[in-house]
Amino acid sequence: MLNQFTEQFKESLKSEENAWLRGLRADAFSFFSASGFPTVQNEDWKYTNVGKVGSEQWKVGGKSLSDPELIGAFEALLKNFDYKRNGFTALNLAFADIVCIRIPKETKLEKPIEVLLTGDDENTANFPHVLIIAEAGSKARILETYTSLGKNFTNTAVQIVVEDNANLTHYRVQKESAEAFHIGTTDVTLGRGSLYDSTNINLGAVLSRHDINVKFSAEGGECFVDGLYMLNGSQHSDTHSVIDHAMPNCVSHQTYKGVLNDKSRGVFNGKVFVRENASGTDAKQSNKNLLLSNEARVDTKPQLEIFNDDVKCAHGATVGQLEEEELFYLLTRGLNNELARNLLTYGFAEEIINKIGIESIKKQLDEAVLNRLNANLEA
Amino acid sequence: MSSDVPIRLAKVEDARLIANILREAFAEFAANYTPEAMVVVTPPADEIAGRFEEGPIWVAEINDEIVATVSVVPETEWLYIRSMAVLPKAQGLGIGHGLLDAIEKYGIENGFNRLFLYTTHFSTDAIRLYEKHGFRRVRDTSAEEWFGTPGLSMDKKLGKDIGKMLLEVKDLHAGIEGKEILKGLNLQVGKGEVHAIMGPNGSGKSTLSKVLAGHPTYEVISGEVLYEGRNLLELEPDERAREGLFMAFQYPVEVPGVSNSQFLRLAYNEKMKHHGLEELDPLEFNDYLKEKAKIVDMDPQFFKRSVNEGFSGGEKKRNEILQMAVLEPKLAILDETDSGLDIDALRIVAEGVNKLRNAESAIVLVTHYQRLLNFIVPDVVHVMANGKIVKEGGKELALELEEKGYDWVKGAASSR
Repeated sequence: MLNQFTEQFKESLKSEENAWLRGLRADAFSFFSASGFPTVQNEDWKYTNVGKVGSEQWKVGGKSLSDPELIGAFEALLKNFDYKRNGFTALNLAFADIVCIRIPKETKLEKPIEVLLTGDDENTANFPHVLIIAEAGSKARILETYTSLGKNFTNTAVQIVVEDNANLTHYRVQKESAEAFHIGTTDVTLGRGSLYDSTNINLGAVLSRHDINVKFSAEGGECFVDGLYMLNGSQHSDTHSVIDHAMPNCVSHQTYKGVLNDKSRGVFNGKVFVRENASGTDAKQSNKNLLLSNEARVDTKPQLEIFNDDVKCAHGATVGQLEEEELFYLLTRGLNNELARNLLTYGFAEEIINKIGIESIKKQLDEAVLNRLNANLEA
Repeated sequence: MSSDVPIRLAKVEDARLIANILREAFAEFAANYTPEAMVVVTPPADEIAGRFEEGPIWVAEINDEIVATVSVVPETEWLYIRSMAVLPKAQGLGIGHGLLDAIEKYGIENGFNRLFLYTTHFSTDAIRLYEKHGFRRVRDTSAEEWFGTPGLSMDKKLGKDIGKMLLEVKDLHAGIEGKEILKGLNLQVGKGEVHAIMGPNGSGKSTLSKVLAGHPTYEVISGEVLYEGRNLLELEPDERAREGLFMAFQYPVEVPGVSNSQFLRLAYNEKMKHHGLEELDPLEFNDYLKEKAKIVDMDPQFFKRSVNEGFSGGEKKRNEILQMAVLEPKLAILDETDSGLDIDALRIVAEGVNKLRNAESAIVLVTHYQRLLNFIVPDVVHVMANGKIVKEGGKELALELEEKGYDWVKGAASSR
């Protein structure tokens, strides 16, 4: 089926020098052409209508990397990407603008690796695809930042492998422009005794969706999958996460928080699977939402599916307003109503932002939160 | 009452004569003191000479002869009066009042907020003199405390606003969800005073605290609350706070994600702004906060932690008193501040509160137990039962209550 991307795809494929990759891209594009973008009839996209993405005209930006030698080491990982999940994953692979990061064995990096993904001119569509392999025993931090200036469409995918006993901290900051569309997928595979700690901050885009999938592929892994969505105006932000305890004795922690103002809307769908053989699993999941206006709305669905008895699991979700007792406490200290409310909201968001271990970035996010609240708390 | 006898500041050269006066004046009580105590009340001339380093000494003269003396030692914001003596032949001339007037003038001019002294029960004339001069008995001191001779301590607050009305609650009826809990409560609190409100569970103590602080779920049915002559009930909780009302919570609330120092600086600056005073930037405030933290012996590492989050019960209560120290309220209501504290934590909290006592402000202690009042000695004790005050008295009332139990006053609620 012809679509707005058909001509652009033909053109871009010409510059692809890797035969295997050319084939992969072509397959992915055919899948997209057949499926199109998902609709709200699809259970996974029930709350997030992406119709507007398809109705806009997009010019594909960026350039595909085609260094055969470099990409060779990542062939297996890339081929492993399940592009058939939906039209977005397929379209991402078809146009994938590939970035490869390998942290060598036993290497400990002091400074974070920064991947800055910036939208180009108005009405461009970008398809970053970041491949990260943290080799055995390595330790590193990755900062993945999305920004844009106008009406852009970012369709991104990140594949991460944390090998045995490696330790990877991952900050994902999405602060695209208020008109941007942002669709992203993060797939993580964890090796034996590895640690993956991710913090996902969603502040930007009029429509955003992030799917994060973490799979334990060996025993003794641990992950933190935390996030914040702070929305106002008519922003819509959807997080779908899957944490798959496929192996025994792994630990997962998940805290997602939402702050929703005006007519914004948040969606949180978190699945935790504990497979039949995954005894000794410890899984905690929570999603807390603060609604600052009567018109804001959140749909939250934490789900635990447990097929083993020898596990410790806890999950829960809350949706509410600021606590009256907390508010009263601040008022009795002389803070006016607006300041007290802002301070509590700031504190609510700060629990996640405080996880960011890069001082300059944390400060930027603090400021972004305060700007959102239109508050001067002189942090 | 003041005498016409000239009173002047003593000089070091007067030391020998001062020692003589003390010896002569205290001679008649020698049998009542232990030998050790006698040495302390009648020190030799060289020791008197050394005292000039510690604080001023006054003498009174008749015909160029020194007939009376007194000295003071500054102890932070208080003045400790010691070695007061009037020769027997000069008594009855108002010299004692003259000396106390001189001390009081000195105290006020130099910013002290309280005079205090220790005396003995057998010094009945002296006690009468102090009481006439506005001193009150604070507590009895044991023999172990003072060289084997039991006695008592007395004090007098200094300042022009002493006794000026700060809070007046008139026939207050209030409650929650349509249920009347306060049933005609009256209370008057003057500046410089410490009041204790005691009562059994359910007597309405906490309701009174909450109503005064302006908690939104409590409703005032009728009555009046004047704060510095203004209608307190018209003010929002935050306005009350900026006007100097403070409530230490029985269960301080945790505020995750907001650091203690950030929170305290915002609160402090809001108050400053309200009064048209200069706000402090983070560095200046940090210095200010460090000073205040000493009052409750709080480690500065608490400043960076989220407000009350993960604090122990004792740490939370200390943090409340730290907030009080930072905000310098005119009226502090401490709601069951002693609950859940072990004896060490209680002592730290109480000492902190004592350091914050001053002539310009008042403290209301709301408490179920007498224990706290061993450490923070109130001027007035009120007993609440069934939504009103049923008994009032001095600090002894708390002890009596402890002994007899609340059943003793419960009956009074209906008969009054």
